[in-house]
Amino acid sequence: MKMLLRLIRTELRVAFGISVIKYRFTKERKKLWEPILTLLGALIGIGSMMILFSIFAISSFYIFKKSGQPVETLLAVSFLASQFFLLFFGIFHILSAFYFSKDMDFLISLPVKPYQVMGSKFVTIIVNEYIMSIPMVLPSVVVYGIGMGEGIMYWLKALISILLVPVIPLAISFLIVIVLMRFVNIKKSKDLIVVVASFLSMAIGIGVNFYVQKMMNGGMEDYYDMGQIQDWVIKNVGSKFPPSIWVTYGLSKPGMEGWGYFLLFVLISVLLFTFLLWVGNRVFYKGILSGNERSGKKRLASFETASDKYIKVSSPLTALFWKEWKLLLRTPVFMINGLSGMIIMPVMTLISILGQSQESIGNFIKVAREPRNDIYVSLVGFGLMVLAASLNMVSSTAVSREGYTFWISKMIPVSPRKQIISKLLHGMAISTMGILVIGAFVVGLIGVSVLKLLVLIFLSSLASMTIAILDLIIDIFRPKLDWTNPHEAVKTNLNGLFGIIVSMGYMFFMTVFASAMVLFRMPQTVIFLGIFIFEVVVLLPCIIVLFKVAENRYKNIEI
Amino acid sequence: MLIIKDVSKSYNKGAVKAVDGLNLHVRNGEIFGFLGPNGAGKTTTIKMIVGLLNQDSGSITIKGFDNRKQSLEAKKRIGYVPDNPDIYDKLTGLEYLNFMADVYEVPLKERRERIDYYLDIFDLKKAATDIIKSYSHGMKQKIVLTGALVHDPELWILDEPLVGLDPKSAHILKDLMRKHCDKGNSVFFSTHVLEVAERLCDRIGIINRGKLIAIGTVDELKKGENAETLENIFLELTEK
Repeated sequence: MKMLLRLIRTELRVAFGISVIKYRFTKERKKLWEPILTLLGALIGIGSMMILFSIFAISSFYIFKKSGQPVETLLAVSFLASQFFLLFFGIFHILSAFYFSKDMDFLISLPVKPYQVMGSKFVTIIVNEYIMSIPMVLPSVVVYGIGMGEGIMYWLKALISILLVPVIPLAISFLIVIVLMRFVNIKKSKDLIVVVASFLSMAIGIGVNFYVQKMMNGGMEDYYDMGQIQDWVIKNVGSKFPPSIWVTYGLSKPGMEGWGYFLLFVLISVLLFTFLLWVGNRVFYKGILSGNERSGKKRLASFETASDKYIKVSSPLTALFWKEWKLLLRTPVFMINGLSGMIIMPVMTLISILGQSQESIGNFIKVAREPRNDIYVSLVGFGLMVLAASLNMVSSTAVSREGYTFWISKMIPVSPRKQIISKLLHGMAISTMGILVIGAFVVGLIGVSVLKLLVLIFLSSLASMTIAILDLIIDIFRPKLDWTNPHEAVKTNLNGLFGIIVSMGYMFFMTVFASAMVLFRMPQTVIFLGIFIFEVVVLLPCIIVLFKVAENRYKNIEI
Repeated sequence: MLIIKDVSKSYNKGAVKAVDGLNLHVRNGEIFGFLGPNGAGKTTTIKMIVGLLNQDSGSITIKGFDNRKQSLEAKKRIGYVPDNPDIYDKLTGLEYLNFMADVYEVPLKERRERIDYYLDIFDLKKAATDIIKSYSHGMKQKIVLTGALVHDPELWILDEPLVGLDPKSAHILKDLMRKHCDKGNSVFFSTHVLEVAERLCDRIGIINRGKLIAIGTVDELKKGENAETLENIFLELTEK
């Protein structure tokens, strides 16, 4: 038990960077702002989630109360939502904590029992999941408790329930992963799994969006008209995942019945956790060790054939450009962050259109095609193109993604200017994909002329170039190079966030400028020309600054 | 070939002096071994030579090119192998080598010959089409080495090049170093393996706490310290 607690403490220190913060606080106070900013960002994120769920909880409470429906549905919905969320994302968190994390090899070599390693990792995941589950559940529990005037026992049971919420879904996720491991060599298929999981998450997100859209456009009334909303929740969703119903009844039913459900929930949670440790003790290491074994993979090509194919002469700029592409496409996290924006935004746009009724789509197209609305449609199309072009973190993490390999960039006899141009071209190539997808939409839906489309593509490419340059300046200024997991280079890199803020600022000023021209009823050609001049005026100094910063930083970043 | 003049480098705003007034001249055609205990300043010196770190003062010239003012010219003449083979692990070995040949602008014929030659002697041909991520430490070391030599640089700068290499590859590398220097080129390398330094190096420099405390041929060093082996000299000098 002592060892388990020690391991848990260490795992928590690593997971939440407690030692790093301590070190920064005592020895590197200058860099203390980084964890503080991250913490602040997390607090803002969690806080806004709490506010959102609180609004949902309060309004649902009054709707249920007013319509005379059982108020405990509120509890059922929030416990269900959080547990489903944990069940789904838990699989990926468990995979990354148990099978993809680099410290596993080290932990296996220690004289500790498998269940102790597993237990410590599992508890860390649970603590991590609280960040998502507490904001989802707490508002409903509080609103219900206060609204129904519950006593001390309710709050005690609620506290225990909230702490135990992640246990059952995560234990199930873990068992699924263990079963999966018997059939798939997870470690070898890591890249594939990450890509599939990410696109699956996106598909689910898009599906939910589509469903909400549909519901907003008519289905909502049926939802409220169902009358027997409690039955609906329990029969359709709760029956597939009874623990959330147990915990709901445990908190809401009076007397012994309530205690019965509550104890059932607690008991099953504890039993599952114990069962998990027992199973883990037997099969956990086996799975990991088999994943470490090298497979006798067939070679793709003989050296002679491959050398003819790969040994070719390109200019340094071309070589750097293609290197950027290869590394982006072959690193799942980079690829997803780079390309998903190009997919999500057009698909979301399409869904918000398809979510409407046939009639309103028809009306929208009719209005959009009217000549007097031409300039508005063009400017909206232009705005969407620029937005699609800016929805990626390719440029704002371009240098950071190099990580420990940055020494190569410092070593090679290629000027920083040329190196940064290769990154700019790469970022723009990806942005152009976004521009073209939106362009195709505009043509397909509104039917703008080819000439106008070319003008829009040209203008948005100039804007996307400025955005890419601003992103690059941010990243080269303070790149995050000390990462061991590609996730850190993009997900925990504040440069991405700064890039978005700066891009939004640029787009804001351009929108103000374009809107002013429209308000002054200037002719369309003048408006486009005005936008062009605005873009060039911003772009030119940005290019100069980029080259200057690149020359300076490539020399002075020390590794 | 390589001239280091009054070079100093400190960390933490001068609190830690990593290299202190270093003066060194590596001549054409010589293998220069750079020895010192852990944290003595070997890697810092090497990183300053190749431009990964900036010196606080002093100058470093490679074949007459100042490594800061004429950095591109200086870099073209260097082949550098770091102590840790961190390279693009999502590229295949062959892609990495062709990339290095591209950035050093090596003509097609030469790059084909050199890549073929080095992969062959390092026994990497079979793995050349695999991604680098699947390589062992030693294989990575060999692919970095090949990448560093693909442009046939005059000066090899190798930081602990023998770590992780199997005996056969280590033997081949030592052989390559000798042949390279016999053609009038130079090798500057750091090592902890004193026997290798003793047998391979034309001259040796010993650094301790950032200062060069001894320099010369093995015989010259032995005379000065009245010791029988390089190990004794090393221990005596660094424990003073």
